[in-house]
Amino acid sequence: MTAVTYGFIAAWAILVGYVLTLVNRERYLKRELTGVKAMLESGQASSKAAPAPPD
Amino acid sequence: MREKVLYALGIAAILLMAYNLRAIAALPLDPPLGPAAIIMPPVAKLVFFYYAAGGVAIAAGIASAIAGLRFLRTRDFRYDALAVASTEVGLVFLAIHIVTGCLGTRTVYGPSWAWEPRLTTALACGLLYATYLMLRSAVEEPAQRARFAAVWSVFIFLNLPMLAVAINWWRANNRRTLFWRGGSDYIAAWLPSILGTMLAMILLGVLLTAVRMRQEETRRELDTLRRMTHAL
Repeated sequence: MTAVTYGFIAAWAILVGYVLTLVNRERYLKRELTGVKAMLESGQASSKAAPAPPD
Repeated sequence: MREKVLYALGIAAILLMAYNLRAIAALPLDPPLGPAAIIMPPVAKLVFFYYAAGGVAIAAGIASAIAGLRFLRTRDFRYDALAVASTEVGLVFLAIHIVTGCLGTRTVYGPSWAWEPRLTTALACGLLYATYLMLRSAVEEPAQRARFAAVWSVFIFLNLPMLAVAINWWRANNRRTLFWRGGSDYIAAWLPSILGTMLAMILLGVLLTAVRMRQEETRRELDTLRRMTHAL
């Protein structure tokens, strides 16, 4: 293989590696966001269900 | 709408890159395009990736500095997201620039790393980009983090011209010989493919920056929701 082929492979390997990092990060953020939203909704529901504190 | 634009950008970048690769493969190395072939035949075509990636890295650094300055003026966190996204993408393209440059150096000089001025300044700029990202992860408070990062991105911008002038300042012969001793025929024949590859890489860079910027906005939304959860 020539240096051009190595260069081409290296360039695309770096780009593909970065894209995979972005995909993993996207998945993590979506999972976290869904979890926190669910936690927030359940927290709001429980605070509504709880009796109001005495004056 | 935003998704569609991103998909269109990605498809355009891939099509343009494929078209350019075909054009690059078809370019002859024989005279009258000879000077490059005589000086370093196997690696001459690496310049298409080497210069394109370097150009995108510089553009990303400029975008980051402008976004940093805009953040310092407006305190709008969208500019902070743009700054971090473009710096990260700039670091990726700078890595491509350095790796393809090392392959060229290996063929010309023997060792992969010969302290060639442009590669050395590219490495220095890459380290500055990396410290930007490290600085961000080191500061907890969002406003302070964005402010520090904005100032650092302006500092990086001040170092970027070195990438362009390093060859002249330190008088290295190889790249200048390859390109500027080649004559007008050589430049005229290869320039469209160099510019085409650069355009394809710029499109890729814009696409990656847009995706990374959206992730940064999601992260900020997540932080806000977490604070609300703690407050409950």
